[in-house]
Amino acid sequence: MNCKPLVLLVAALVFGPGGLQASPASAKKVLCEKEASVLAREGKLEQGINAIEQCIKKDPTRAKAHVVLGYLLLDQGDMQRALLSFDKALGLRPRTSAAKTGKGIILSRGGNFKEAEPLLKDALKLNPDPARTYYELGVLYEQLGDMQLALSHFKQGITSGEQKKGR
Amino acid sequence: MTVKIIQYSPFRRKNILIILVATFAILQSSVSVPALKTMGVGTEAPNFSLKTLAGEKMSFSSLKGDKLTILLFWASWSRQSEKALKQMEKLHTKYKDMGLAVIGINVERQTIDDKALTDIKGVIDRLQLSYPTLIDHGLESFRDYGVIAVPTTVILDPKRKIMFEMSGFPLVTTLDMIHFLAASIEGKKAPSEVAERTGYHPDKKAVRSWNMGIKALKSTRTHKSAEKWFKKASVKDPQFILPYLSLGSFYQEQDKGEQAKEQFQQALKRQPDNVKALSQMGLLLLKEGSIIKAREMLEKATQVDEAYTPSYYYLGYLNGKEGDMKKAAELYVSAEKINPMDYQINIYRGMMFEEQNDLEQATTSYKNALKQLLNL
Repeated sequence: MNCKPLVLLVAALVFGPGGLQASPASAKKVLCEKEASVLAREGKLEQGINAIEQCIKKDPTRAKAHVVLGYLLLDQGDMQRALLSFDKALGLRPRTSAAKTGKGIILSRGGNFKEAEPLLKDALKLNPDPARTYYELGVLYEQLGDMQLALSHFKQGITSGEQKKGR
Repeated sequence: MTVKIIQYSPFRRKNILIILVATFAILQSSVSVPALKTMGVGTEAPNFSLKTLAGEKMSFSSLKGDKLTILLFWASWSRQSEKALKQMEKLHTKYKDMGLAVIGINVERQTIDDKALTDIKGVIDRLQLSYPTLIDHGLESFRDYGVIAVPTTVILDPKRKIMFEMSGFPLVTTLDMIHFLAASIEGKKAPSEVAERTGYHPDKKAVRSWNMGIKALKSTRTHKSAEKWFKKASVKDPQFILPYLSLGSFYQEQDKGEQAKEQFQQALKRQPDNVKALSQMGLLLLKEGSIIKAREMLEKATQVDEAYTPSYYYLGYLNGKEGDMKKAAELYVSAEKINPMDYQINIYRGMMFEEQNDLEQATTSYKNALKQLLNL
């Protein structure tokens, strides 16, 4: 299963404008999460996972940290633990589109399209910056053999991604 | 007076022909070429803070030269990069004590894993590079600078003003760069044609207005006002090319084809070999169905700058429209060799297949474009 490098999505989904709502949590906690994703981006995935686990240890109630861990585990290929992290995030904040997308990716990659589709569609509604969700839905429809729908989702994803990049 | 009679053997004639062809090719490519998407000579380049292979964070200010700083964006997968790295090593050795700094910025790929680090280190060790190499994790500087091709060379003054830019590693532009450095650092007089090519610097007020326009484009609230700023810039310095190109792209985005063409024509009037103006004109002509003229423009664009990827994929799209899929595929591959990170290549590929009702290939192409856009 090739999910690499999903780690790069972490910053976009979690710290971007369409990610989780910024809580009034201390800057220290945000920095902790950022440091973890920076480590992963530099190719130090193992260190990134350790770092975010430390952040969670300090404050297990931050959904954002669980989402970051979920994506890093997804990048590592540890689907089971990634799913647990996304579930934890959704338990803390049920309307977290990044966690829904993450869970949708895992279900879709596992062939569970029936559950993945509504989850990803739900994430699309919640997320104002849905390029990644469009991508996952495109992949899902491609797997289901609906090329027309897959194509239109990939194109919408491109438009959304370009808008975000300010092109 | 004795006249030396030279007998032209077929071999000699062949050599002369090669020289003539090469000279023509050199003259064709001896133009100043835009190496960056929006910035250009006279404008201010963005700052950067990147890590060395050892993990030490370095910025422009900590590495800049007293007189000039060369930034070389390179990657181990690019054959031309190695030539550029070697050239920069020579320049570094020659001028390091005279105020020139060279910084290699590696743009290997989005995520740098152990293999990438080994590849990068391998090149640095093999070429025995004595100047620092910074790693562009996440390709942030690559995007900030709007690099089009790999390698790309940008020369900055100590205030980060762009003094020279070069995409790829073309022979004549490299010679221009060497003359430019000799003139700037040693005070040597550059040949007049080189001075003409490298000597122009836009009016400061015009640059300021152009900068305002670029800034305005970044916000939806101020987006429209960019037009006014670009117009102001070209009034202040009618020879300054960037406002025409920026305004052309601005109109292009809004589907105002005629107005866009007018701006690119203005740019071409001043710089007939401006690759961006040629490519965008080609695309506009292609969209309005003027295939022959479009082909002419795009083929000229690929000749004047072999490292400008859009002209290749626009031409690929044109060939696809004309039914020459083999040629189209070759052109897309050529573009990918120059800049495999340019997702637009796959968008144009997708458009081509979609127009031909090849849904499967279109889907794959768009999917690949989105993957690149999302850095997956």
